[in-house]
Amino acid sequence: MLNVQFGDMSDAVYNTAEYFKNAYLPEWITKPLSVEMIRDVDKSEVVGPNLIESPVLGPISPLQLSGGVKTLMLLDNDRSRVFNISTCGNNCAKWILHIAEQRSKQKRRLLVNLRHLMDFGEGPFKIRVRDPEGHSKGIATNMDEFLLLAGDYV
Amino acid sequence: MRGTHVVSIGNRRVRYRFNVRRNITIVRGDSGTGKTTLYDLVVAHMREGENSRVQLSCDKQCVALTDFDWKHQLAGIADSIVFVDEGSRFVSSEEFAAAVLGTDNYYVVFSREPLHQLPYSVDEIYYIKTSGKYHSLEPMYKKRVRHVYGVTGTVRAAYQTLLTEDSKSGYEFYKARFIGSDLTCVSAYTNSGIYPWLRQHANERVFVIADGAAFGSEAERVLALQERHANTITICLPESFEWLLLSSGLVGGAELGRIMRSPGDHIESQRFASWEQYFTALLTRESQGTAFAYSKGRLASAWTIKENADKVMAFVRNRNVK
Repeated sequence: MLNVQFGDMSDAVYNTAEYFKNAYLPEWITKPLSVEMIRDVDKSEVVGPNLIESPVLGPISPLQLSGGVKTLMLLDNDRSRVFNISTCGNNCAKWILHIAEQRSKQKRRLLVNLRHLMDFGEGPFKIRVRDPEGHSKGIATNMDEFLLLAGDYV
Repeated sequence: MRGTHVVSIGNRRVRYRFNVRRNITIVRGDSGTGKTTLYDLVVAHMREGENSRVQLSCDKQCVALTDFDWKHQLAGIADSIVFVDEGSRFVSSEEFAAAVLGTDNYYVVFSREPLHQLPYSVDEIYYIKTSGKYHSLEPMYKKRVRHVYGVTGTVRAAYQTLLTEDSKSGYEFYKARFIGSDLTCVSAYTNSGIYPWLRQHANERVFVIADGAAFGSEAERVLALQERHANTITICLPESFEWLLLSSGLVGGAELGRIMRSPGDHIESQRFASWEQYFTALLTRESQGTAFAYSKGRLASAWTIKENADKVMAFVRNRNVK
């Protein structure tokens, strides 16, 4: 289950691109999940740990990936912090749910900070919505429920 | 600053071309569409000019807000188009809004946050559309006939409620228009009151009229709710109530007609935080000394006479809202 806390979280990493620049490891880029996410979201192919082929920009470094993909890799690889997923577009939503599901199988939870109304698709999914103080407001299993639980905080 | 400004920027691999029409433009949308690339091009050109190999064409200076000390940087920028990246935490602060609204710059902000403190238009929220190396900005929310936004639905019977964000003149106008009819007029008091009201009454047939000129921060959640209740909720977002009155032709002369055809050419961004404020000032000026004399707090009775109100309602009529 994905845990989403809305509003300003002072301890969350807001600028995920800056954090990624200083935190990522080359082996993150070539993990099968990263390769899939980069292909799906950025339409780019991983050539190696330091090289990605973008259809628009040509050969690029991991630092030139989109902010959304960088955030996805942080969610997958760095468990030390809570990350702002408003740096992710709706095309990242299925991957956020996927990473949360994987984390659940390991009996761990994924907590993220959200500041807008992300479209998680029609579901079913399991998202616990938390208010800006961290109190649980309920679990949404589809976008109708998510909108009703989250609408007051965006 | 006033008017529309064309920005064309690119390098050997990418090219962006778009218009900036108002003081605040918001860019959001999917990841991987090129928002950061656009911002980085502006940064490169700002630092190195033509020596960056970034080609920029615009009749205004384009700058990127890069410093953590943004207040200091902003104090030195005038008559420019300022690009603000999504990693800038300050963008959602009251302090940033206060600083921005007093300047004569236009701002292009990359952010998915609603930014309630900034009065931006529902028409100035964009996503980046890509065609090979060429990128442009496309409106996130498409306007349909008579200022209706959102998903096309089929409201099968007469509306039960007209919900307006206005609690003063606008509300008075609609209340007078529909008194004695089967349509109940309700005020949400502010644009942020519309979502909670609709959530409570989502299964009623509701026609919402709000000021599009400052509805940007509410658009996402209200239109998401409308999408899920397209057969009961209709969202109508003319520029503002004052814009409707001005459009009726009941006040003003030939000069007003010219202004209304291209308002952006006349609205000085440093003086008017949103077009709604401009239309209020314009209506107050144009109606002064006439039977239609306008003030926010009280509506002149001439506006509510049936023949006059018909001309106003023509711009928003929809089923029994007419």
